Amino acid sequence: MHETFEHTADIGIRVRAHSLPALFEEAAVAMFSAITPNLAEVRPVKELAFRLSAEGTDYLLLDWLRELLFVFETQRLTFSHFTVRLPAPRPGGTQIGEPLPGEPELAAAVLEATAIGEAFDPDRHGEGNEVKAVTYHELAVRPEGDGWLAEFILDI
Amino acid sequence: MPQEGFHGPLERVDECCWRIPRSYKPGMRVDGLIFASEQLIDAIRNDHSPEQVANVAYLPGIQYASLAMPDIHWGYGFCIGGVCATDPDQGGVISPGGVGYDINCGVRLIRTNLSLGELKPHLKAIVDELFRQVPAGVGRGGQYRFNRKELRRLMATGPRFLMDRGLVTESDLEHTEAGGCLDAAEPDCVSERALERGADQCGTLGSGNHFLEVQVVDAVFDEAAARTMSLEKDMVCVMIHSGSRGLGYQVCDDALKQLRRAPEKYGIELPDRQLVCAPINSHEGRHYLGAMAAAANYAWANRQLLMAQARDAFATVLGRTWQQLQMNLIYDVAHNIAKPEWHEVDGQQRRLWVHRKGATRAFPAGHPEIPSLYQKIGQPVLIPGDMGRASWVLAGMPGSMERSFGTACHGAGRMLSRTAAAKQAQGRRIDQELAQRGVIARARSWRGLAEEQPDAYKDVDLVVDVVHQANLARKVARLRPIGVVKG
Repeated sequence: MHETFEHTADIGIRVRAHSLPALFEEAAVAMFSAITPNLAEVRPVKELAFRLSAEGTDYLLLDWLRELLFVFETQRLTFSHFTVRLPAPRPGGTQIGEPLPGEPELAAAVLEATAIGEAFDPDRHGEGNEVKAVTYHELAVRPEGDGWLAEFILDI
Repeated sequence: MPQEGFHGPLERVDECCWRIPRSYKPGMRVDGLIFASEQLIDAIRNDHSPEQVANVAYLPGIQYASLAMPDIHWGYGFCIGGVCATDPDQGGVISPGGVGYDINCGVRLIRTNLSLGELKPHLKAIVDELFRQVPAGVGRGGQYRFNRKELRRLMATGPRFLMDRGLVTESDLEHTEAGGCLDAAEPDCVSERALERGADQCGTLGSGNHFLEVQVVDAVFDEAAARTMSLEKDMVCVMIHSGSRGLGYQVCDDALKQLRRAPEKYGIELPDRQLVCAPINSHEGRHYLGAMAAAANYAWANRQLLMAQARDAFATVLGRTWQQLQMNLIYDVAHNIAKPEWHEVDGQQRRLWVHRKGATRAFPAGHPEIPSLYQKIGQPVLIPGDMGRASWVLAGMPGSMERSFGTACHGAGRMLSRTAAAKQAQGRRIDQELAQRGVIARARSWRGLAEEQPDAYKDVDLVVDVVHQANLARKVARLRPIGVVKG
């Protein structure tokens, strides 16, 4: 599930999920809901695959959303379904920022994912906000209870 | 998410200035100074932005103070309305967050020779034509296409590149901040991804708070300055607010990724990752500056193409050329930018990099960097308000050089979050409410209008009062919107 939180100029998004991969999937749904509000209208026509690695889990979430935004902006594709896998981190990477609980230090975080959607049609998908970027301000990915929580701010 | 509001010290300096002392946080190198009236400061206290003013004071090489204008509100990294000057000779840094994603977002004002009475019968047709002609909204490309080579030339030279296509005049360039071209531009520093994102967006408005408005001069406060700017009461004008579109957003995004490790490498302590930065005299710093300047030049070209389309729309509806309508550019200002400028610090002239994040340059009369036409009155400072109340034209004053590195505010400043504004607009027709106020508004989406409704903003008159009183810029004319085009 996701919700927005108050931010004066932009959009704050809070996401909760039972697992880390589900958190990444839900974060993508949340971002596309802000851009193309009628996600239920997005048909599963096109599938794109992604493989990314980053310095830590929070940066990986940011990079995942950055990548999706770039695809939307340049290919005019919007997505509503995502499948994310987070394979075990490869050794030898560099950790930046606080290591997450249970995450080995000096490990890069890796993501393999698919996004399913179709060409953006403003009449069917609705026009929400033009998202300029996903920001680092107050970016957080952390365990909460039995699951995970992420917070990020979209620059509008 | 941070705790609600600001609980640190906010000491009154004078009628329109408040201090966050350097002692507030151990990493602060200078004080924070916020320009605001008693009336505005309460709302500012309830916001996270003063904390951001304090955070910016951590940046290496920062001079005098971390400053904020009266339209201050919570941003990401820097507050919106933030100003920070760093000295490269003292380890000064450049911070992409101090410019923002929308590099050289800015405003231009175009006059016409039409009075409100003359325009009124055609207003609806003009707004419809503007809405039809000017691409706006999510993911929408424009009518102008540039191949990679052309895009690189456009980024190197700014709107001058459009001269061959007959889309810019010498007078337009003369009345654009920096002549529409930062020499530091290095198109080769702009990534392929940024080029891809910006390829078909030059000449498009975007969404969010960007707009194209038909306005009328409501009141004149300084007759002589207004005359020099060719403004008079009841005159119809056009104001355009947009920036560097996807190209600029991607340049900033690329830089933030490249700089992730820079604080560690250069031993810089930062309280917020969005403030990530590198010394100006470093490879990373120079690379970002080259790309940022290229994106700034693209933004000036974007506003030039938006103006060309607005001129076309008026000409189409009124059956006269834009030259016959005397649709001349009064001025174009950047309000998200970093530039090298000479300022006096501790009695010495020093070349500093001034970051303006939602703040407008406001150089006074006699400053060498303003056009000859405005040498005697000071630089025109354009302050868009909200789409129901007013926008302002000010002129730069000497106080700006003494107090704010030659800077004034950039707008009214948001008061309500987008979510809160949309909630407040539930069940309402903002376009009809605006029509009752005499404003014809066209937008791609209901939500766009709802989030940007007048109530979402502070009263721009109160913000401008502070700038005027602090002697940063003086009031010249107040403009009232009559037609609005939004994404």
